[in-house]
Amino acid sequence: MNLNKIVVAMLGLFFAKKGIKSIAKKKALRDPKILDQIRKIQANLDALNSALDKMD
Amino acid sequence: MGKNSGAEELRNLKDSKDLLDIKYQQQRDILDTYVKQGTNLAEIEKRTKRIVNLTNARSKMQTDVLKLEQGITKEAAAQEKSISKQLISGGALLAVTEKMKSAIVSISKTQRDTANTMAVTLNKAQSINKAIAKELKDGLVVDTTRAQILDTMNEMDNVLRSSTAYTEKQATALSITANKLNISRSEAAKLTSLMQTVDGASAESAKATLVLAKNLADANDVKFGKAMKDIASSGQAFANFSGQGMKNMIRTAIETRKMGFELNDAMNIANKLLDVEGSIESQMKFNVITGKNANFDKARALVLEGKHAEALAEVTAQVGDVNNLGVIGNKVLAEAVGMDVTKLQTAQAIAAAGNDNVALQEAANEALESGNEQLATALQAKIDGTTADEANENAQTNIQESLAAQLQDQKALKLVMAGMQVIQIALAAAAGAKAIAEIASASALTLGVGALAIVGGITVAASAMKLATSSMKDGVIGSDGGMVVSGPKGSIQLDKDDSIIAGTNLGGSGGGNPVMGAKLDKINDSILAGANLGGAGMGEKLDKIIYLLSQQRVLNVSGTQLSEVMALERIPVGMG
Repeated sequence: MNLNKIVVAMLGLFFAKKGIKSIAKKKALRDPKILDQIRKIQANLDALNSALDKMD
Repeated sequence: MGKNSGAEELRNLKDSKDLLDIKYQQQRDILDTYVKQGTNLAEIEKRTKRIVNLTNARSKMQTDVLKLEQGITKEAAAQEKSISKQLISGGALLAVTEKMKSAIVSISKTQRDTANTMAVTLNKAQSINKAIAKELKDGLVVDTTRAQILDTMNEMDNVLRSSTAYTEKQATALSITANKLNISRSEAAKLTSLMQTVDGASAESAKATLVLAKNLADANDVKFGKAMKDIASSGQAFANFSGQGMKNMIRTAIETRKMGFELNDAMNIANKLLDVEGSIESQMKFNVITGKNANFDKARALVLEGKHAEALAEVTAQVGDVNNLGVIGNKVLAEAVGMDVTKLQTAQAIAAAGNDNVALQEAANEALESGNEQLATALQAKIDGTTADEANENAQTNIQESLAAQLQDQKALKLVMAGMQVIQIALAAAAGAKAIAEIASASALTLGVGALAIVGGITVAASAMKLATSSMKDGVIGSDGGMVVSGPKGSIQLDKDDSIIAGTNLGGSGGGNPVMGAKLDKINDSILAGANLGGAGMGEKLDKIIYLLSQQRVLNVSGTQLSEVMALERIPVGMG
């Protein structure tokens, strides 16, 4: 196997790892606990933003 | 990108946070302006109070966001570990099916080997293998193998000219005896067949006689294998000539060996002495030329009594010192006794050394004469037929072949093979797609670029392992600030930093695609080879690649530029 093939094979592994990381993150974002946390923070943020809008 | 509620909600959250930051800053700017103008102190006080409350609320919210990010990182790490495990376990399953496949191949080979060795049909080979497997049980698994038993059976076929004159059980016993006595299977087969034909012995008593013969050879300090070689080569002729039974022949062979002769020499001398006229004439000639007074009458009488070893000893004694007989003396000696002078010289030297344990020899002689099978069994049990390594090797081969023998229905095996092929292809595809499939069993669109990157990455690596992979028709489309993918499901706006890896049939056309299956198989093997069970090995290698890539932003493969997408800061967002 020549160098080119080794490099391309390693690139393949590199992208595979990147892909796994990305999928793992997407799966994490679908976790109900995480989603719940996001929604709570979002509600607080919305309340703060709307309070700021009313300030003036 | 795509429908991903978690990611979308997180993005919305970040947007809201940015908006809050802007509004917060605006409030602070307004307060600064009031302060600079120094007017409306009541308003300044009111706004200051608001800003303080707002700052507290914002700090709390920032803490919550930080905790959220930590939670996401932790969960993502757990998910990554789980996906990697799934990929690796897919590979492990592949390895198992590979082993099963090789086991089936071995079963077929065993059957074919038996069929070829014994020149029989596959069906007959199956029944032979089953019979051998039945014999090779318990302690016997370490003593011999199917191949050795077949070899013994072949030798018995050659000697007996029939495959029906013996059983697999007898062949197994003989093969073990040959191993223990360290004689060839050919010799073992010839000796037992001689015992059966000359003495009318049973296979079992023939085997016992061989062991007792070894005992006698040991008592006489004679190499048993050499004596047995004599019998195997001259035994039939000697039996025809002397009319003696095998036990006597064995004794003669061992005793002649002990004196430095071979069975053949005993026969030559006997032939010579029994030519009475010629023998007397050459005896006189020998005496005249050498000045000795040799008399072979007693030796002749001993031959007639069937005491060949004693006759040899008598001749050796009668000719006396044969060291300085001269050319003519040597010639007349050879004519008189039927053998050359060197053998007599050797015999005389051995006789001069003489260190006999007569009691032991007599006991061994008696045991051989009486055919003490009990003693033979005890003696054989004491002899190691195989080394520890050979025993281990034999046991493993026998256990595997024994299992194989039970499964030798070729029609069933063919079905199993075909099934295995299907499972393997499915597993090969699953090993790559298992993690992806678990995330979204619906459409590929929901998988996002990450999934595409996995399949793309695997495909790139797999094709690198194929010969002549110079074509870059498929490849990477850089983001250039954003892209829209259109299809039957409508237009989808990709993330502005996303790139697309494009290729034909990247995900395969289903679990049964053999080409994709083979590619995934290869990449799986390479991942497995690089990764330890925890995946740290692969991680280290990938870190090295990342480092190398960070050193070289533009990469060429077979003269084709792979594009600057390889530079780490421009890795597609979907992959990052």
